[in-house]
Amino acid sequence: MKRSIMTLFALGVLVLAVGCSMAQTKDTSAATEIPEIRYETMQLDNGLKIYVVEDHAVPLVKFEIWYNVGAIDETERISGISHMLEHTMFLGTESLGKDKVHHLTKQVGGWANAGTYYDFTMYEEELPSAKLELAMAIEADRMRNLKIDPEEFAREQQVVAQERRQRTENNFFMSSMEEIQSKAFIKHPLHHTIIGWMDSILAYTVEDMRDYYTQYYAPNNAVMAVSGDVDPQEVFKLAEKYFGDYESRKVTRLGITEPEQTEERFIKIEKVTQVPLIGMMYKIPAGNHPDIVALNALNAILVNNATSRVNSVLKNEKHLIMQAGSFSFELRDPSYLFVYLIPMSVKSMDNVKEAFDAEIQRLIDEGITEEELAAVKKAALKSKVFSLKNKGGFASQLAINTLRFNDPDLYKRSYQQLEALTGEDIREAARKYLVPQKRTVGYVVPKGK
Amino acid sequence: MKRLIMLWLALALFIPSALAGVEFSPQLFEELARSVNKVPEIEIPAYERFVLDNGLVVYLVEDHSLPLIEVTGFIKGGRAHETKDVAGISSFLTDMMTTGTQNRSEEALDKYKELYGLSFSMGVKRDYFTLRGSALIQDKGHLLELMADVLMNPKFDAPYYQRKLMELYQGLSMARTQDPALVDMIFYRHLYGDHPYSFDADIDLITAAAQNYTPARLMKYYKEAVAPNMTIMAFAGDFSAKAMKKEIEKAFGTWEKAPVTLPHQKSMAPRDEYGKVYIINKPDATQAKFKMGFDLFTHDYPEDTEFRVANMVYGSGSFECRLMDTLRVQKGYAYDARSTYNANKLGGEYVVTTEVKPESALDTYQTIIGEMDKILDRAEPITKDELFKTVNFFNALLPKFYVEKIDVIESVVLSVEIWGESANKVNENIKRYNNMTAETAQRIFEKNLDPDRFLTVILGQKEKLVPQFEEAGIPVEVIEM
Repeated sequence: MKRSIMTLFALGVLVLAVGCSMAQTKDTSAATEIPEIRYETMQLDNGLKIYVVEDHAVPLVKFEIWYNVGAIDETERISGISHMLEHTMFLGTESLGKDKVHHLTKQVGGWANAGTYYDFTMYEEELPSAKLELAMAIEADRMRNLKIDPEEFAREQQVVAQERRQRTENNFFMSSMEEIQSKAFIKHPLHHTIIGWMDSILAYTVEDMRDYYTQYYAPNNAVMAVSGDVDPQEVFKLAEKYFGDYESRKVTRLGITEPEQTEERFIKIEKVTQVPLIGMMYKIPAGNHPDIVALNALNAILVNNATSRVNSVLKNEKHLIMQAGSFSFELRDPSYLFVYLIPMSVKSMDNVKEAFDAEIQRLIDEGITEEELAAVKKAALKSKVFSLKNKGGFASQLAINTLRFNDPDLYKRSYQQLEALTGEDIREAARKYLVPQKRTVGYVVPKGK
Repeated sequence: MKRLIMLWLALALFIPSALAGVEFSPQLFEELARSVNKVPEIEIPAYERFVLDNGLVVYLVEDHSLPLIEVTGFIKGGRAHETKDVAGISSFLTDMMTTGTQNRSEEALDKYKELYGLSFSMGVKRDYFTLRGSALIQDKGHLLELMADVLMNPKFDAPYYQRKLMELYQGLSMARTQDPALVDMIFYRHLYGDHPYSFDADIDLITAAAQNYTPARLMKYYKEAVAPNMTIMAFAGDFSAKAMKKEIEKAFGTWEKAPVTLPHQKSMAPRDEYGKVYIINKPDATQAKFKMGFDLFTHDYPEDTEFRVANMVYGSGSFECRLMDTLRVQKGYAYDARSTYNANKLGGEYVVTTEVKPESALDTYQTIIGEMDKILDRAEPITKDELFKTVNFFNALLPKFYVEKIDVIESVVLSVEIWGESANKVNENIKRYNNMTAETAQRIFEKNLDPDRFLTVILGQKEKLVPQFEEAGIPVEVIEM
């Protein structure tokens, strides 16, 4: 075991000021002292990385195992299998009966859950801190000894099929996004969404599942994050006891790269809806790319802030849209930024798109204002202070940054980058990424119109 | 002896790798899962309560852990103030109030919030309006100024009035295509009839009533529903209570008291709706969406805590509850199934929800009723073990929701000011559920629940749903959408 236990300081006592760019506007930047969050970390010889964040407010512990595998590791034939595997992990092992994970955690006064994303799958238990070993044993057992009973597997496929009906097929926004995404990505597995296609869900075999599990569920492809009322040394000792003898495994990935998009793509989608929707998917780089910070600021200034260009002009001034929003996926692979606009009518869809493009052009031509930049920085500072209330969330962030980029402290650099961000950086991001040839446009219209 | 050594050697060589570290077994897990959690006690932080001359009630809690300030608050009355001709007006009112004021245009208000990192929002519940806000402590003066401006100086004949109305119509139009909104509309319309508790779900009613949301009517409604003498605010943060009190007096002292009358008409579910099954025909639906329920007690019901715990056994939504165990774990029909109840000042409801593939609709309906019957008939009564797990679960996790002082003080304010209960209600509840027996849970379940009263609304394709129910001799009424 590599006993390189380090005590790191996630945030030193920093005195941050946000006002340098606001000299000519109102100064909202009095210094704010931000306390520190400490974490401890170590790595087992087999590659399993462990992060511990102490929080003794209540006698509880949050235990998480994050696997570096998700929907972008799937071929189209087995689309959604990462998510199906997440469900299968609750069917048990020889020692843990079906759904025993839920029963045992409930018995001690806790709960268990799991989640699948494009580039990770996560399992978590929250328990009385005296029961940390139970969580450790559950995750260690099912990391290596998963039992896949064909009958139970088939029943669970039906549950996942129902989940797809409920969350995607009966949701006009999600089902439209799925179609736009499959148009935007041709080769890369982002061609499908996390839940996968219905045909795939119903066609997985037990062998498919066994192969996938064996390929990706290994200590060197996982990160453990523990937060709460625990002693880090005790966590490390238990990790060694339960995972120490597990062998690392070579993990191979699909290695599929999406060809560079060179022209705008368009798709018209008919849905049972009364209001139309324009969805625009722009290609962006991986989540640790230096341009991501500027892209997020751009997102706020162009679309998401109450005073954004889109809200001010398209919604409040021109009354062209009812609502707008934007979000991006910051994955280990290049992914996308999604902008949605809800026009007032089907007839005005082209006008809305043109007006949106005009706002991007205006931003590129005229730059952004000092107030816009100050608002972004103020929001980031506030969010940073409020995030300190959630130490469990901080531990998760360390795990995600490690899984994706082997860089737990990425958040720290991102914040520093944001503090130094200039209007020109944001303008450049717009020039580079928000261009028609890098986007796929979806018009979602009421059926028959 | 030699043979024995060889056997040991062979065993050693063939021990599977999984056993090399920890030997997993059902016994190991059972041993690790033995636990009886301590009965928790929630610490109520020291707070100061004072009342301004205009009747505004304020709670202050100092919390110097982080450089921030948070506020939570309530205005008594809420949606229950509404009349049918202006159904849904409460939400529109709060939307207008938080968009702009007499002193700040929409743009100016938004800019002020963004530049100083202020958040302030209002919401509407059946018995009260909610207030929420936050800022870094350095901006607390701006937060108070913003709140006072929004609450005291509303502007309804504003340039954005028409746009807001248009957005409302568009939203309602959109809701008419959404499964959850349609199910809620039919369910609550039949459950609550003409009582204001049904209004917020009734898309058709709100669409018709919205034409009456004139600026003048909004101002009248504001005067009827929003006043300092109906308002309670609680602040927690990195401030000195003494100085904060002065700032609050300065910010809200001029807000004028008003003669607001609290709504008092109790809701009554029409008895002829008991046992009815409505099928909403939605041709594009790919599943059957269920909402089944009936009217239940009001918030002052003395055994509310015991009922909450007993109901967890039937439908907490976790995998061990009876509904999830049958509908998901055993039958593989549903992703989620749960039973909840909502107890308000003037009435309450008990609701079971789930979604399944259309072919399983009848069996799901019968399972929901059957699982309840198994408890009521004592064929499978609530067990000691089920109760222990529920209580043990609450004892472990409840303190987590009271870590932040703002959360504790919010619970105190709700108990004392809205429901007229003790400030220590949370700890009283903890004692109550820890004193329960399985027989108490069984009794309270039997006393309040009756599957014959289920009003059932199912959304899906009628061609797939109706024949199942007709074959089983269950009459249904189809509602076309």
